[in-house]
Amino acid sequence: MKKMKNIIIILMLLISISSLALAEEVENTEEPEIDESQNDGNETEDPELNETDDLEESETEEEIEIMNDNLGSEIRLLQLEKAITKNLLKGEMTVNVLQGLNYNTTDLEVILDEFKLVLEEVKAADPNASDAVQIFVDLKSDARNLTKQFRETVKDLLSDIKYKEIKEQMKNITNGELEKYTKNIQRKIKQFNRNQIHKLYGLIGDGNNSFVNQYMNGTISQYQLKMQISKMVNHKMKDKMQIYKNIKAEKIQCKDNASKKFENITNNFELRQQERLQRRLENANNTGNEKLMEKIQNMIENNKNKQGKNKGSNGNNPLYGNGKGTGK
Amino acid sequence: MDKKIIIISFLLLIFISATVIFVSFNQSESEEEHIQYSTNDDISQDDVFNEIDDFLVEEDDEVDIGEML
Repeated sequence: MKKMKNIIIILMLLISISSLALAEEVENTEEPEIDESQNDGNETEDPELNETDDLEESETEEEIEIMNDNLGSEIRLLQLEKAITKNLLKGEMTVNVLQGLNYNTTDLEVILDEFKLVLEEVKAADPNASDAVQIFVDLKSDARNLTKQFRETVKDLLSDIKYKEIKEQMKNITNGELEKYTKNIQRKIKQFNRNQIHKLYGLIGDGNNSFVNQYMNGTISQYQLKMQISKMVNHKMKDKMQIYKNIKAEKIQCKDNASKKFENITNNFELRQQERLQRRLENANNTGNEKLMEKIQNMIENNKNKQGKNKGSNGNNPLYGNGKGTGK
Repeated sequence: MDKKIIIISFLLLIFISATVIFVSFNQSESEEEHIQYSTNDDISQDDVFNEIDDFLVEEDDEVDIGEML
């Protein structure tokens, strides 16, 4: 009798231990949140920053998926050109407002000067070149870093209230040049989509050109076009599964290619960044822009030091780890 | 008294084991159902629509480099 009692107690203990272990497992999945609060004051490992960097990286990786195609490359470079032009416009207007309020805007003007050089490089990029994707990724990264530098420099200059006030003024700013970009990009996206639909028709093994024509001349929207094509696939009762698989496989292939390309591009990013800075230094020298020369020279030095420190360690994200302070 | 405790403990053990087995069995069954759903012909128009959607670029699509302010 006593033996039985002991066995039951052991069994009960085993059950409670296993439930404890299960509970711990659940707790482990929530650990990152706890880590975040423990990371206070640790500048090198900011989980929020890493998260943003990862998000930006995956966004860029998605963007280059369509760059297997020349038209896709053209679209992405034009979109980048438009984004930089828009930020330059906002930047110049901000500088004007701040000058009117007697703020020292020298640092901001230097950032905008470098931004203009980046814009020229984007304009000069050849979408048909074999390194178009690399150029897009590099220049987008530069544009992002310059935008961040500008934003943080303005934040340092102004009080929170003034910053919000000026931010509100700069909201929804547009001009004729931006409108032209928008129309041009939309036209090219439509052409790109037309090609994609023909590719889809190839995978479906059937097609209806009247939908494409209606989409191209604006009679039906992109949503309506997608609905029509998905209905078309849905009616193919026998081959539906195969068609679905074909479309999915094509997309996966495209994603894989983009992922491999992106990985290759990130490999030599820092080296290429130094080369770009050297080129910009020469440009600044040619135009006699001493302040810009000084900024770029500082950046080259900072990058050299960073590379030295990062040797042997994982370091920061090479694409988006260059925010504030690199130019000062 | 001792006998009663032993019987109750045994019943509890059987009840717990039965619950655990039932839950895990149900879970694996629903997983199987899910796999069957996605591998069989039951592909909805929404699934196809989403795949086509991935194939095309939105006309208002933009490259995001952040805001100046």
